[in-house]
Amino acid sequence: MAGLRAAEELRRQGFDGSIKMVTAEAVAPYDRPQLSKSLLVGTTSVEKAIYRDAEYYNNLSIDLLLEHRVGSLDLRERCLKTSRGSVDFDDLVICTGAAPRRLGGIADMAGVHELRTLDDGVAIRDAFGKAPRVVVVGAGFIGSEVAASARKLGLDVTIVEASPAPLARALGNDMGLACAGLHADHGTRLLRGVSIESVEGHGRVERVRLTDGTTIDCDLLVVGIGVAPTVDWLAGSGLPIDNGTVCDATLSTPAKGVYAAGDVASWPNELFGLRMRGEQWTNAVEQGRHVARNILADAEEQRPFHGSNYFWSDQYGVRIQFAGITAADEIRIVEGSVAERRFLAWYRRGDRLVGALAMNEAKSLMLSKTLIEHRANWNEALTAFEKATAS
Amino acid sequence: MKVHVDMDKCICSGMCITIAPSLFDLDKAGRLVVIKSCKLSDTEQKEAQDAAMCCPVEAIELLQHEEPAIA
Repeated sequence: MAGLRAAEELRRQGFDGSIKMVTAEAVAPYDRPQLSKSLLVGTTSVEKAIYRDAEYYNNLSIDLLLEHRVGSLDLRERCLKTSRGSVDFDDLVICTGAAPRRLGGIADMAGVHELRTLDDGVAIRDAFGKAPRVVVVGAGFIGSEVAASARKLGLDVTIVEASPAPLARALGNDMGLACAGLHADHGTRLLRGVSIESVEGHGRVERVRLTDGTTIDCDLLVVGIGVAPTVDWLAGSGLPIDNGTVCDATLSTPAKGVYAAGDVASWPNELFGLRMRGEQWTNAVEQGRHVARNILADAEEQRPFHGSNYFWSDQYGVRIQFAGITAADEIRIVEGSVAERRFLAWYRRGDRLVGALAMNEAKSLMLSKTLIEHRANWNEALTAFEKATAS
Repeated sequence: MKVHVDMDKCICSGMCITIAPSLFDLDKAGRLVVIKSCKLSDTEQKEAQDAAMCCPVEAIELLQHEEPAIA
């Protein structure tokens, strides 16, 4: 997504040089957020999930190089070595994204899936059609959405979450539990504080054994235990790698004319004074466009990227949205309540509003996101919010 | 330029209301309302383009030519 938006923005800004998009995938960029949602329940088709057809790329003179798996980067020769030959560049935007972490120590077995690519989504969708008993590993957003989609189809679903506090890293303890409460509302079993000891079956998953000794029979195991940035191909390139491609505030790497955007980019986010890496769709879109503008700008006009870390998740017909960071001194419900599954919670750090979480409160969340982006003072934000919602 | 929102695609994320507040809003039920769709100022045209690129489901379509106004 970051790559597509970077290319589109370059053209929109009038860049008329050559643009090549290099991807290991066999299909053009697609709507990844829908993979765990509408694709799985059959309301989005594969065709609809693919953003643009070939004609679109032709019209914009974007050379889309499919099935070119990039193996390494040669900064001296300024070229990429791919599975189908080398590709030269003047400027490079690294958007190789992230790959799902796999369960350690289990044999390759049918019926075990991660969800990252369109093929993964289709495989899980097709497996759902055979009325399987489903176990989902990980109660993060992907795992939770897969579970919710499975329940929508009436399937029997158990989530196994290693942490006693699901989503704690993404939302903080209490709010993570508030969101995880949706599973029980909708008949999904959520087991916390246990992990998978082993996966058993003859060539195909038949059951999982948990660390507390219990077993769960299942026909489909979906693993959603997070992702790691795809940087293995950059080893030996000379670029610094530390939880992603290390960039400066403008998303530029130390190599001139080499930038990164999306899940793979680690950058100091001046909005929060933190080095961050964003794994959200919106982050990819915004960073892709930002890099495009910096590529075309003069050296002294390079602008820092400020990201508000926005994401959304749809589960069981409930819209969860978040913006900001969770490292907070206080979390306060400022609207609605967790019990009614409609609320807005604010995260305070010092005297600043730094984060907001909403369930079914899109408008309030978006108002909060704007306040966060303007580095709003906590008390002033409260006053502004009261005024805005009273009208 | 004319703004059109494909309501079959729209998931009411609200991204557009922060980017182009003079064009889009959410009502009390959280549904998208297009406040203004044509006769856009230069700033509004830019905001409309930004909103279209940031819409999570690409529901915002920008038609390059406004239909002729009815006299």
